[in-house]
Amino acid sequence: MFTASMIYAMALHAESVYYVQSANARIWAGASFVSKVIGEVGKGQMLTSTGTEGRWVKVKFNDKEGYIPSLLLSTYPPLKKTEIVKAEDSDIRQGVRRRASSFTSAAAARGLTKEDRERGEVEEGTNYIALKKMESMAISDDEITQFMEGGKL
Amino acid sequence: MKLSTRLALAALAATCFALPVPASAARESWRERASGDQEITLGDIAAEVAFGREISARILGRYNPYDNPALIKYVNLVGLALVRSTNRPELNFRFTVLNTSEVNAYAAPGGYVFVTLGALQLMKDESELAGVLAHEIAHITEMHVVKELKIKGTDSSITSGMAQLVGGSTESARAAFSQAVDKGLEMIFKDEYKRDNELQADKTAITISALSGYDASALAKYLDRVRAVKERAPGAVKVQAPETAQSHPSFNTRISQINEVIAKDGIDVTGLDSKQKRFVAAMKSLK
Repeated sequence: MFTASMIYAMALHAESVYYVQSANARIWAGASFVSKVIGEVGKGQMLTSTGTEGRWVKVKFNDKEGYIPSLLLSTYPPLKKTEIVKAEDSDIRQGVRRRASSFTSAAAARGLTKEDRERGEVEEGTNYIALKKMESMAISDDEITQFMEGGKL
Repeated sequence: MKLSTRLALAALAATCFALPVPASAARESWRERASGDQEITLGDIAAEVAFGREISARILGRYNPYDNPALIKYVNLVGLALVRSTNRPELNFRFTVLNTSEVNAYAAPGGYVFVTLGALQLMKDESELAGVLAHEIAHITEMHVVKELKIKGTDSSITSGMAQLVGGSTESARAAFSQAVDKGLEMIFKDEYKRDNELQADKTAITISALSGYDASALAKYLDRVRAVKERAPGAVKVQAPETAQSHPSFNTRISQINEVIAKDGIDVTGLDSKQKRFVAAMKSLK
């Protein structure tokens, strides 16, 4: 996991460096899907950019140059979901001093306070119970992979 | 919208939407995404998720979720397959079906995507579902609502914590947050995304669909069907204002752009399996 200081240090020379954010990314010989695929890189792969062409980023790859759709790249390493939870956890710790119970604080960090839960039940217009049910749907990476393979995606 | 209302909302955005977050998050304000020019911090993302949760709770308060675990799981699998070809690995994307005959789909910041039962029933195959979900995912990855309403985290008041505003420790904070959510819902329900944002979401959706192995032209086919349904609907507006005067692009404009982008980017849409059998099988579980 990257610490804030590590990421900050990397940012000092990150102007033309990109990181793959998607699960994987193919590299094309030209800025078009019709061109030849010359390689594939995984999430987190660091790539040096030599320019852009429309919605494509030109990158160095194995002593060659290729193109990746810009929507798959960022100028920082991909964040993990746990890092967002960690940011929220800091709020929990701050909240503990002010709130009566750790249960209430944990809920607050998810945007769900005791008041929210009560509002969800008694106030017209919100449904936190349905939201929690929506959030509870658990699908593993393996299931997604199997689904994609089953559909030949 | 009245000018005074717009000014009030602008002032609200400037003063109230900077949600306090931990100092460690604020140090990363240099972050930028390759597909846009926005900077982003861990605190911004936490604020985005908290804001999106409230929006989503209200969407689910307006429409009941459709109670069909098999269908919901199928929609999630299609959505999560698409998410693998996006740039927001830090978000937990969730998808559900709203129990209404209205034909629509919605996206709330932070990764929440909703598609109506009416929309599903109008679709012919999985590629069309993928196109619609990809469009909504694009609104989230491009942060259209977040940027429009300036939802950000800051370290201006570390001790108060973001939960103060979201959870509402003061009446004024709760009121400000509630107004922001109202404005967000207005954008989502009344299709008040900026015209450019809507067209950008289509472009991004095409790329996501193509990268995921779906027929990228399926979104245009679906939109053409929706257009026909809306034109036949009682009370349909026959004479519309000029295209440039409308905040939302017409179906014709969107379909034309999709076809142009597919041609320009060299996206192959011939001979692809639309996954119709799998879609039809999933839809058979409808009550």
